[in-house]
Amino acid sequence: MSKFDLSLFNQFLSQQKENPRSVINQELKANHKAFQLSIEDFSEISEERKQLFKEYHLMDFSWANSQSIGSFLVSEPIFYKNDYLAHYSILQAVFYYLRSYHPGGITDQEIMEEIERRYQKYQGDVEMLQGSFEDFPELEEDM
Amino acid sequence: MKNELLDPAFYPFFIKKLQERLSGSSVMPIDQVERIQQSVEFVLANGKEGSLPERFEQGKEQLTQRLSALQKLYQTIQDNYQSFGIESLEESLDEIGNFFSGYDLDYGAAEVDQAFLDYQLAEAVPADFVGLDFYERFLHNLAAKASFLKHIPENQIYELLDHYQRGLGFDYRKDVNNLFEIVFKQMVGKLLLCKKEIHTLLFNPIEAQYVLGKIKRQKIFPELESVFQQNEYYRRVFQQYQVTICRLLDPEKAVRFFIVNGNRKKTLELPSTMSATRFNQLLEAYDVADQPEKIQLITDGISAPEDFKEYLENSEESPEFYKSLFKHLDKNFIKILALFVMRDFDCDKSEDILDTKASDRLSNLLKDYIKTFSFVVRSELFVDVNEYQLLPRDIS
Repeated sequence: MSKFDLSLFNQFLSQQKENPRSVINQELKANHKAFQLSIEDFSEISEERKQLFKEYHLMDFSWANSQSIGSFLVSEPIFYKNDYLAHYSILQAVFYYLRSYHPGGITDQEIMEEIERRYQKYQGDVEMLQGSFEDFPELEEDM
Repeated sequence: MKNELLDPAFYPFFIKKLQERLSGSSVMPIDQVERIQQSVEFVLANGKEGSLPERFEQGKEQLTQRLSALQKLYQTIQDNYQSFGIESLEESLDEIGNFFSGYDLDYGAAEVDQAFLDYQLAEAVPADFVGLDFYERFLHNLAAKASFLKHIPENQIYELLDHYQRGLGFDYRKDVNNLFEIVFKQMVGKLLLCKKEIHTLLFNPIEAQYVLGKIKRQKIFPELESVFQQNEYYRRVFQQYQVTICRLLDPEKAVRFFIVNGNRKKTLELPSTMSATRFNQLLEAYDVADQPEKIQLITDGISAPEDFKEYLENSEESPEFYKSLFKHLDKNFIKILALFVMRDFDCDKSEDILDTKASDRLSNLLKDYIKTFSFVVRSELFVDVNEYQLLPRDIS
């Protein structure tokens, strides 16, 4: 039996019409942020995402999850692009970590909501956030 | 199976299948992706012509038909098989029910873990058989076994299992996971002995040696042809035996390939002892009785050798009285006492009782009593006793 080929899958993904970068850029503009994401910025995020797929043996059929991370951060008080990208990268890693930890039953949206809840709880301290999920990966964990 | 991934149309078709599977999440673990890929390929391999979606539908239809045919076979086996109480067989058959209720042609057509199968086949299903192919082969083999066993009288199978169990030391129902193999082996051996009628599936050591030699030397076995013609499965299983037997070099061990009827004895369980109160009451009544009454009390009241031994140790009577008491004991009780003493002294044959250097009253009196027998009576007693053995002493 032939093995599933991830590169073919990635090829499929790149052919999809979604363009998360331009959606995020529009939102950045609408929220009066003073920066936009370049193609390079976004390809770094995209490359990290591929690494996460490898690490957690997952694949994602859509950009929707990445995009909702980007959109969530747009509404947070972040003023510099570097901070924005750093938070983006960590939240994306947390999302796929949780996705592999909770393989079924829980929806993407529920995971996203929990990330947002704890992000606010730790007032944007992403290292605290990351540690909290490593220690308490269960959703609805009240500390 | 051809490599579907080389077909450029496969990828879009497959991705669509995967996306249909998603719910509440756009993420899927890779191992699930791979299982679905195997499933889709399995179904496609059962389709014939046309585009991928057409072939997929044909494949599903084809598999559905085979599935319902197999379910009928399963039902037939369920209704007709005789398990002889073997747990793994009963459980495995029940488990297969899960396969029929849980088989998923869309996403899990190539999976085999719907049922937990503990029961082994004499010839295992090849490892590359997946999904319906696996269960089809398993059940067809099982049906071949069931129909083979049906032609053999049940009492012979029970006898065989009984011997098997003695060699095993615990309940065969918990151990046997391949009844057919045990029976088929013996049956084939019996056929090679060319007996006119088969009354037992057990071998004596000489027969076993003979058959083993025959299987080692001969290449073709016309005696077995009629069996093989019923089902090729039987031939394949026999061929495995040939390979195994040719590897057995030590003749002592080779005999154990078959279940051999050694000098087996019937087992006997001793009557249980009476309660302490009953025993004391008996002794109280005994103390105030005269001699004929005493003998009466003991012969009627005591049935367990332990009680009898205890009574002898607690009573003080003349040697003449004891001699007379033994004369009044039931003949079968004497035999049981002999077995009891044999077990105490770990004697192999009842004749050995006479040579024991015992100090306890029971064995001394019994020895003396047996010595009073004529040679003929004594020999008869020994022959009878030697047919039995007591259950091993309960250690708990």
